[in-house]
Amino acid sequence: MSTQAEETRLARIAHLRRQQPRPKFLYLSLLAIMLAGGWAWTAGDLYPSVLTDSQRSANLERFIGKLTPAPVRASGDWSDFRPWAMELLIEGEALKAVGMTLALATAAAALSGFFALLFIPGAARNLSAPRPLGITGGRSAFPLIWGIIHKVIRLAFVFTRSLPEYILGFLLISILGPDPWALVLALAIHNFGILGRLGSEVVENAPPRPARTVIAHGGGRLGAYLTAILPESFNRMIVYFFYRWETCVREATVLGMLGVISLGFLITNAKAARSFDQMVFFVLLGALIVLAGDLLSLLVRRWLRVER
Amino acid sequence: MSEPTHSAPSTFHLRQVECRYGQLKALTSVSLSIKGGEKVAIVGPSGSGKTTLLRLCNATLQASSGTIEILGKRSENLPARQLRRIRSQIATIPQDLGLVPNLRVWQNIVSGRIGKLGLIGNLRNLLVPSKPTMTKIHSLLERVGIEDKLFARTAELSGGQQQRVAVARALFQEPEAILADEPVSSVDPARAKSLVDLLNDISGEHGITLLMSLHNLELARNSFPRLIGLRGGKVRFDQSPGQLDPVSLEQLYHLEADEILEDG
Amino acid sequence: MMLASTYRHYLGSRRATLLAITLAALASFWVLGLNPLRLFSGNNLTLTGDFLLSAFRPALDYQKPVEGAEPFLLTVINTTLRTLRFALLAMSVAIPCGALLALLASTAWWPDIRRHRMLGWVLRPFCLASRVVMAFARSIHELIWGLLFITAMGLSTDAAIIAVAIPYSGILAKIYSEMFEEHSREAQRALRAIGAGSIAAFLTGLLPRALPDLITYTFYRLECAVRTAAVFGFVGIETIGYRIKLASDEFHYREIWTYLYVLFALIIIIEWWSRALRKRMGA
Repeated sequence: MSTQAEETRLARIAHLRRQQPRPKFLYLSLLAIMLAGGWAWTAGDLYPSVLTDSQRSANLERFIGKLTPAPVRASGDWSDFRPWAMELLIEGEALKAVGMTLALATAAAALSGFFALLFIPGAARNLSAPRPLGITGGRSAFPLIWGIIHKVIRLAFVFTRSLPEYILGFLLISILGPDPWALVLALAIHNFGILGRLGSEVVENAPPRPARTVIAHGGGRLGAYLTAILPESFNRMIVYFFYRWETCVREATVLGMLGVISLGFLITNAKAARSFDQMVFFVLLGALIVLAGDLLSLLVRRWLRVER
Repeated sequence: MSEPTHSAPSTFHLRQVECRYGQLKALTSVSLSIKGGEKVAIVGPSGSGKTTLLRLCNATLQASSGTIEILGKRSENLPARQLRRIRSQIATIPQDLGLVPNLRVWQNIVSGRIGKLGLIGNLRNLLVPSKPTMTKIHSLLERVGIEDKLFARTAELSGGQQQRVAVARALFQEPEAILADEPVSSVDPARAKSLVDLLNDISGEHGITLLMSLHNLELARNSFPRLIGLRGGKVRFDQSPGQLDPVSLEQLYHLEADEILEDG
Repeated sequence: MMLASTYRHYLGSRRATLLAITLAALASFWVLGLNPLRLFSGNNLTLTGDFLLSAFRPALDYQKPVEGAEPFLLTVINTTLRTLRFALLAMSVAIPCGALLALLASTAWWPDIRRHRMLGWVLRPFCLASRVVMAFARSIHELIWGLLFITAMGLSTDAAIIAVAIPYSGILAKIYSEMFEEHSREAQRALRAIGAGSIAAFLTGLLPRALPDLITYTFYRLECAVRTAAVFGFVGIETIGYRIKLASDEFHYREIWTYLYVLFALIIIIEWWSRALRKRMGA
């Protein structure tokens, strides 16, 4: 039994609830996601397997059987592992491939970082406005131009980001032939978009005061960017750089599958020759350098924070 | 919970308590007793052990030596469940308020009973609260003066309003005592007084013991019937403001006695 | 004077880092034998030009019509849906696995292990094991996982989905657990102080705080999954990458651009959705 006072209160609560905008979008999104998930799982097979189950288990057995390195299988002794591994590393050029992989990643990361830095001021909202950082000056000669430049650069970032490195690599090889440039450019173009986006966010969130001071003293946008904003946000940018470098190492191991130097090339060769032991060896080697890259990235992050 | 309990046993009883962090002695030979319904302010400079004392009182910290009785029970070496039970009867308002900014105001308040309900009950309260629950929360918000913020997102409220949400959460808990750790150090004097008065009124209305650590000596003297002064981990005085002499106060803060009296 | 010397020291380490990166980059260029002039050789320029010009005229129909084939746009739509499905399937496996691994690896929901020493002994190995599994799963690229599974078991939808789900679970788990560790624990502590159990305090005090970031990152992963789905077309699954390969074999650049634009559109939609959600979650 509710009293008059309770009724009033309940009415008031209902009123307050109505006043608050309901997060319809959130509920709709949740519904959409669940429907999409349901559709994905129930809409039939993406790739009907041509192999029967018995063929598949036969394949699996054969694969597992050939996993242990060939000399170890023959002699039953794991001490044969070292010479086999050494041979793969040196004559089989695995170490060289590792070096190439790292070089690919570093070259691509540096290229993309360099060009991203060039274009970030155009994409950052606070710098590319007709009145940078909200400082009122004279009327800008071409107010519309800035809006266009800004949008075009942002579009370029999003577009290059949406191109998968592997597909880009494939297309570039078809144009340039099996040249390391194809892989470097593939990685660089994709990461240009990512670093550009991340970097422009950093610039947009940078504290405006130092930059405003530069502009108020007559330095232009470029001056503000180079002398005030970049030094402030250096740490964050370097962290992002190393994060992408890490990803580039991962991708570079795979891009070799397209037929150019790198671990991926060795992996596909081993697969084609059905030397599964070598294949797994190279895969694990790749995992090792990715982990090492991970570690380096972590160390750099710690080091920079300590300096701060 | 609406009648003051007169003959309550001591809510907090500390006997020769010492609390050590490694080599550092945060509290030394502290003995005090606080009865049900009392309003006590703990004053002292930073680092004097106020927070440590409060943490001992809500059993989130164990003493290195000495005994502590909370609501009549000894708090040393208790199994976790009983410890949680004690804590659920004592409301703590930490200095940073401990609110979840993403949640709505009512959700933050409903989490006051988190220690008293099981997982299912808590989830239910957080997602599909019952009408009586919402009614109670609304009336509490009314009591602290911001009833129209019932469904607002907590992050949108001002600092002072968020403090009141924390107070409402404490009330929702229906505690035996409220511990407040420096609740007013970051607000202006007018708001500070208003919040302290609110807590004092609530304490009187419901007979809830109030234990508040304050940095502002003036505020403490004007609002509380009992002051405990801490310095360097030791209790320097424990009396009503009227009985305090300027010498004790001076020793506490190393200020000139005249300055203090002038500000008052 | 202290200020000046620390400032100089600070600048010094930054300059050192930049120098190190530049040197490493130059060394890499040298090792790879990269010569910028090679890029501009005659044939390269022509092909590149052709390719880039086709960007302005994406194909709406087969460039070399084939008898009895389904309409081009229908193929495009089907391929796009396949790509999306692949991504959704992989994510729907990766998200729960990633969440589980993240919870195992995180200590944020643990009760006070000073009082529950036994529990500490039980939980720590799980925590460590989870971190090792995460790191290992992450360190092998999804394409290589795919290659391994396909070599071992032949191509099938399940094999491909699992191959993508493994590294993605690892990556999601790593980021999720980092978010659990990084978010402020003040609400959690406050709730523990009023008697909440450690799990309840975690669910009420920490999870809602971290939720917007968790969701935003998960959407970013979905975006990556769409790209991965496209790339798996090169392995045999009929997604966008498969069509691009076919078109490239025949030098049908305009068809390629159609598919690139479609991929672009998919990613923009996901990106926009994620941003709209984040705005409404008020983070």
